[in-house]
Amino acid sequence: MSENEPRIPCVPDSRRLAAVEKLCSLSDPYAGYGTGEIDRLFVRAMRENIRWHAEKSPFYRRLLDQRAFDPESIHKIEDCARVPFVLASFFKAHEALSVGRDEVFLHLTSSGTTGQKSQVFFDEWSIRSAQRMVDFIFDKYGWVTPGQSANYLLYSYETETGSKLGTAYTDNFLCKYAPVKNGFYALRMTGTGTHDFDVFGCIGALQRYAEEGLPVRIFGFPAFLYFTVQRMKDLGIPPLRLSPDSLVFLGGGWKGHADQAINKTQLYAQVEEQLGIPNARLRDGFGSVEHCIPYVECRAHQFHIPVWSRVFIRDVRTLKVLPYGERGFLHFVSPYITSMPAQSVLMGDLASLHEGSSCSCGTGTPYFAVHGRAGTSKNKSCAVAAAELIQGSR
Amino acid sequence: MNGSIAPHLWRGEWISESELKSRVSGLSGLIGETVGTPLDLRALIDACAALSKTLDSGTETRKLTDILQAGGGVTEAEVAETISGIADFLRRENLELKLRRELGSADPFHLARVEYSRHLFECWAPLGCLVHLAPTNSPSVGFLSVIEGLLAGNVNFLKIGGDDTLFTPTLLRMLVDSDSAGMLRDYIYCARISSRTEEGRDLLKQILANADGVAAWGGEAGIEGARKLTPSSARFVDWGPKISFVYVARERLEDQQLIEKIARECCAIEQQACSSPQCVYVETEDRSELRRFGERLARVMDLESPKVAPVEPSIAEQAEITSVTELCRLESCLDFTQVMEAKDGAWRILIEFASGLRASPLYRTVWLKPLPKNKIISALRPLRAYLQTAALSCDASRASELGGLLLRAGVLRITESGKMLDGYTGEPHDGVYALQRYCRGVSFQSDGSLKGISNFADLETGAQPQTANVGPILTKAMFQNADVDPRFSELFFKSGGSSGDPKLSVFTYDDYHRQMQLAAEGLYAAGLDPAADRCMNLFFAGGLYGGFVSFFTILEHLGTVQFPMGAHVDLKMVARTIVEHRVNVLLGMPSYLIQLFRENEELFRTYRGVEKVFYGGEHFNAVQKRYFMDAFGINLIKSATYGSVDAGPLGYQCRHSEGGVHHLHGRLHRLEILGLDNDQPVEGATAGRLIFTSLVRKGQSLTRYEIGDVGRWITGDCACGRRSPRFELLGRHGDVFRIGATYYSYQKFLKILADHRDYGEELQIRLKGSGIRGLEKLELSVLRDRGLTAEMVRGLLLAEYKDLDESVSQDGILEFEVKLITPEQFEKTAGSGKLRHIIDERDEEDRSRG
Repeated sequence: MSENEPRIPCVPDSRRLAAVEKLCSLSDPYAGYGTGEIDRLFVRAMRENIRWHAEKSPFYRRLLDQRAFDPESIHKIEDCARVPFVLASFFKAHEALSVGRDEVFLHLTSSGTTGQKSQVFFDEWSIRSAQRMVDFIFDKYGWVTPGQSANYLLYSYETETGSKLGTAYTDNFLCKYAPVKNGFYALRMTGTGTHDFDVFGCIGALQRYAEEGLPVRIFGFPAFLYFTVQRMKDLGIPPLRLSPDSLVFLGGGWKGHADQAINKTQLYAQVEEQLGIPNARLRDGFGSVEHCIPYVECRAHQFHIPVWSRVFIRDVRTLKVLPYGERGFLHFVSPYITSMPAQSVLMGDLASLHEGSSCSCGTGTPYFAVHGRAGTSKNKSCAVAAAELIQGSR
Repeated sequence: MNGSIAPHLWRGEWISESELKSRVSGLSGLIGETVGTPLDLRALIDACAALSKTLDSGTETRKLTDILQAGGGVTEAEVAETISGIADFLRRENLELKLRRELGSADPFHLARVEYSRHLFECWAPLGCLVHLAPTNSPSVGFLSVIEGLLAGNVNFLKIGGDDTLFTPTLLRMLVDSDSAGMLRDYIYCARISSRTEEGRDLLKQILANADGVAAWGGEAGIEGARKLTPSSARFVDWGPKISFVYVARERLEDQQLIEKIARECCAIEQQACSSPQCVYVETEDRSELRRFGERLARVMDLESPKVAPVEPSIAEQAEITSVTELCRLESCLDFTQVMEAKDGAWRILIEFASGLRASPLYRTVWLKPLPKNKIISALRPLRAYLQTAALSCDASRASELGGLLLRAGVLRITESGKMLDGYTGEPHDGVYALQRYCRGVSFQSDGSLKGISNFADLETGAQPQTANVGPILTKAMFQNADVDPRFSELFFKSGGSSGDPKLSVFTYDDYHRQMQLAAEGLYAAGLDPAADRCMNLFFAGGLYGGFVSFFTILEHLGTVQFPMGAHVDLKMVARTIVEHRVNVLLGMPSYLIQLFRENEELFRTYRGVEKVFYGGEHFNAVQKRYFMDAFGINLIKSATYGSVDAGPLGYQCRHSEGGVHHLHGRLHRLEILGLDNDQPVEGATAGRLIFTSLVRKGQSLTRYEIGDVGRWITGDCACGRRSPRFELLGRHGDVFRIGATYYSYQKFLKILADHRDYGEELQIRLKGSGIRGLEKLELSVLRDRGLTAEMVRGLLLAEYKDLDESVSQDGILEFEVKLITPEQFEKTAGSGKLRHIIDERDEEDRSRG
């Protein structure tokens, strides 16, 4: 596919967005985080980004006016917390473009479960720079092996080409880091527009891969991986021993199977037991279409923040920035995106931030932990909650 | 599991988890047995009233509090409030009011005649087996829903959460224990089941397979899940979450008091009720008008919110509030919205210019939106499954138009601002008639064989309700001197009786109409045909007399053609009217009727159109009756009703009732027949004093009222088909006496002489103690010069009065003599000059031995 050809991404305006380009080109994801030089670069990039969107997006301009925010007022990283944020859910209901429609390179919809899909628009720079960040991280962890092909098991939707579904797109491009020997989609097309989870097919693929001995790369939704190893246990299939260079990189959450979600530790233990892949090579990834910076678990399974973004935790009532360890809204700030004013996004997740030194992996940058959705899908009382009402009347 | 008590309640006993699993397969058979017998509504209400008293007394409060607090998250004060709400719900008067309000009657399950021209009967019937899926957010809703299910006559299976405390099943067990009839236990099942496990869902599925109705609470997902497991034949009653709102018509935009009420209602109980307002609609399309309203509301919120102590939302709820508010703030940059917020974040008004109804995250957060009347249907109808209450504020002239639109859009209940939450405490279903959802309306169409019957309750075996035979016998004097609660003093009539004292009887309109309804049924049973008869009401009116008024109401109940003439003095005019209008039924007092016919004898002889006469207030003696029937072609002369103003209608005659035999108005009264000289119930068919207890009366209470008549039970079935208790009137208490080991009735002596010798005049009986010969004596005196001889009379009476013959001729224990005397020789009561019927000359010893 043409989107995957290696090309160095360029910002739309290299004069006005020089710091943005420089920041997003830093190839070591975690080095220099928190140092004066990198922090100053970040803040400069943020100022550039805000000025850019203030000019290009009428909505964003109104927002800055309403909040009486002047981009020149941010000098330190802490100041970035004051950048007016936009809720991720805002993008589900409204388009806010900072580029012309003809410049939209990719239009993605998120695979949400509430029936609303986010409308996110990327120009070429934004999506490519985010994808390059994934390259940088994979490289950092030694997962780029052009000379070593792998067998793939993809826990995602088999697609026709050109699908708008964000996750499908991502997973396809994840296959570029090691040449594909064989690939297997877990969620197979039925021919009538729906997908079926082919658990027996997955088990069969794994057994063949185990036989063949090549490194196996497993990407996609954790729920279906869980169902697979569970089924293997139920059927009494003896544990497989996949190559120790195998890699599991998950994403997308438990999607609609939340009632059966087990904690990640248990999942990793089961996978290690059933498939023989070492715990340190079982990684989850956190991401969303509204904020594409990749957050990849370290070998101690924590989401460390890369140099290209900063995270704040905001109190659920006052929206004040909370100190390490306390729970609140997850707030992402990053100047990478030029197509939409999504440089400061308040997510619908409850999370907490922790000092980098408290993680044994040695990455060093702070990390965040997610504690579930922030908000209610149903009220405790007899009064109906918003999520329960049919939204069609808006 | 909580402690050592097994977790499930099954037909009155506690059972374990494994026992539940094994018994569920037999549930269908058990339910089938139970639904075969109608639930005893009276026993249910008695049990609820008893439990209510127990809860009020506080003896169980500690135990219940401990049980409920074991689940955490509830204060002692909250528990106390819950218990008092339940006690209130269970009060007798509240349950009866609920039945009347929701099902139209306190006795809604007996087929009752709907009209008289066709034999059509209708009533409510239970669904059968009702399965309740209780919500997790309220400890009392499940229990109260079971009470409603029982009121509607159903077997009830209540499922509560697998982790719920034993509060609800404990209360249900207490109800079962409060039922002295021991009937309720088979109608109640309560199990703690988790619907999150495969096992729990499986169990639930087995239980739901028995459901004729399902009452479900829960969120959308929970209710959908329940629906899937419910058999398609069952009625699914969705008590899921609801949304309520305010609608302010344009003429009320500036109503400051209204705005205050709205603000207060937005703060009350943090909007947690399904009838709490989540959105305020204003009839406008003008954004600035909407904003101005918002500003007015905001100012009042600032004043009102601090008056209500806040309940803190959970983290998830707070996150929701913040998210919704922030999103709204962002959208204001697109000019879609505007946020008005308290400085300290205590409340929020979220103005949105789109009309679509939205749920608010609560805790003093309310949407403010424009909604012109022509958009009401399109904005609201998509959400009709969730709509509950709308508080409408508008001018009277627009109430019909706007109210109609809201109801057609799907709103269930319209009220005014400030009253949205009324009726919440203790009621699981704010203002929605639950009982109707838990039963079904049924009908019974009959051929003419049910002519005369008004209610199927009369056809049931005449077991009387078990009220305790304790308490004093109420005399007329005590009755009239008792105080009546002014709340129940609506209608006053002159009390009956010849004592001359102007005492009044007191009724509520409710009592009055219920009594008149029953009296109407009695009249219909006696032979009045509402479909064909043309009636003239000739009873006296005025001076607080009840006669005319009550018969007006009775005839109106029957829907019969009526000429409300009253006891008019112009007898000729009355007669002319009767003939001109082809009146065939007359109702009035015998003395008036006799006068009417005497004055117009020729006319009536020719007319011969009067077919039926129903009388009251006096006795219509046999001689007179025969004269009327022969002379004027009247073929039915019957008492309109047996009763009194004080007591109301007590009994009635059907077409087959002879002489003094009456059916008891069993739906109004309970009858005891007690000894003539003691307070024990009589044995068999012995004569005794009639003692009536009113079952339903708010005005003067009638408990064990001695009406002063004597009678006896009549056993066996009546030819009319009714099985209600029957009794035979034997006369006034003073007219029944005992001598020679037998009871005799003065009235009977009179009747025999009237029937056989046309003697309708004075008769006096003297009772003498055992004289020289050691026998008691009955001396009977009649007027001389009436063509009678003493031998003739004596012979006649012995021939016709069996009991007398037995004592005198066969057993030889009584002497019997007949005397002929002059009018002056009859002994009269000093003062009133009335004839003394019986003079007892025996001394105490003789009397008691007799």
